[in-house]
Amino acid sequence: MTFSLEGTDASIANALRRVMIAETPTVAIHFVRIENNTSPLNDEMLSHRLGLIPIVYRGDVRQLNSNRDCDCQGNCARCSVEFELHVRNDGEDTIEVTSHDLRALSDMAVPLDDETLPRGILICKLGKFQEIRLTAIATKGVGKEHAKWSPVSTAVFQYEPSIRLNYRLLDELSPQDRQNFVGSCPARVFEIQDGRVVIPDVYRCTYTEECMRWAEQVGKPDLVTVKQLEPPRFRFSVETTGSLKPAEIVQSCLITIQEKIRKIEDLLVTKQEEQQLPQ
Amino acid sequence: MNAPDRFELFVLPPDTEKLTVTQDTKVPNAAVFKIYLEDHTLGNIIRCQLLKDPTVIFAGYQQPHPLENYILVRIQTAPQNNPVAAFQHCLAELQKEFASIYSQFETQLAPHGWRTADERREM
Repeated sequence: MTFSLEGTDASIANALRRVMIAETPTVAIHFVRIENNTSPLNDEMLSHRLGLIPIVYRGDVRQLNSNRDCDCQGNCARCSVEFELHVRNDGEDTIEVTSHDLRALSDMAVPLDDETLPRGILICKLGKFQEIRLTAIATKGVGKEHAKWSPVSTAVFQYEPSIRLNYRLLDELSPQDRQNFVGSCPARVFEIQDGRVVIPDVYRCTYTEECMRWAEQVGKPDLVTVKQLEPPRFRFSVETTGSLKPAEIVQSCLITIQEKIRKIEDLLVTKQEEQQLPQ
Repeated sequence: MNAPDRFELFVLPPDTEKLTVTQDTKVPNAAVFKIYLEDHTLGNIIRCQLLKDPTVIFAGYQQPHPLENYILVRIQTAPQNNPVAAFQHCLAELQKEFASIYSQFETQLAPHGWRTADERREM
């Protein structure tokens, strides 16, 4: 998903980005009890791979208790989801163990099942008579603690460039020179349509300023100017791992930031009462 | 080996307060706010918001050490204001800003074919 943000400054945009990556809660496998593992992967490697599988939680992840703070001993339905994996290869051919073999013991969560991944996510391969039998517990967490809880694969923002072309000067160029001007940009920002230089997508610009350098070399420094748009506009691009939808991530991250600010606001009020700070 | 535990990033160490306020003894109308378990995410937005306030003379933040999970926010204000009030105002403004982003984002979802988090859960 992409969206643009304007009327604010880079600090807000960066806070959004940072919270999306590191502080938006999701569910991921955190504890694994291995009962039998005769696969070529060792237990640690297997557990690590299980942890990285995106888990889709069918409820509000934010309502789930953190396993660390839950009043239960160990784990319960309010703070975790249990999974089971039992695969044994009795055939001759090597088989693949994928996320489809991971079975949830409750209907609150499922491993990512996406039509673009019909075979699921490969966990391990099993040779003849090899077996994996384990139970796994998924808990809530944030990307700060371990990247497996980060709901995004990319969350980036870009400043919108402002590219101004001087068409009067451009028209003075010969068609060959116009072609050379278009070719000067390594990011291919410019194109020629019906003999006119056009910009199909300003966001292709990477601020190399090669076009301005070219214009200077031909003695027409006013031909083109490339700047950041003022006041700035940011284009966000959010791509998820599949555990949450992009819109959910943005909403959740905004709630997280507001909660953080609220917490400090509340503490400041109690501090004022305790320390008799000036109002 | 000697890496700090990752949970230290969001579990407050025992006998520490999330927020402490220290008045500056040498400069009038100045104070340092020590906020545990926060980082550049909040530090930078607080600083930028404070700098928009015309009564704020100085506003800055730092995370003194990357392995110690706190930030220091230093504020000095003009005589007609004080650091605590300026900080409070700044937080309220930020709260408004994010609330506005949230509502604007939400209204943009449906026209672009996205469902809100609540609608998706009801399915």
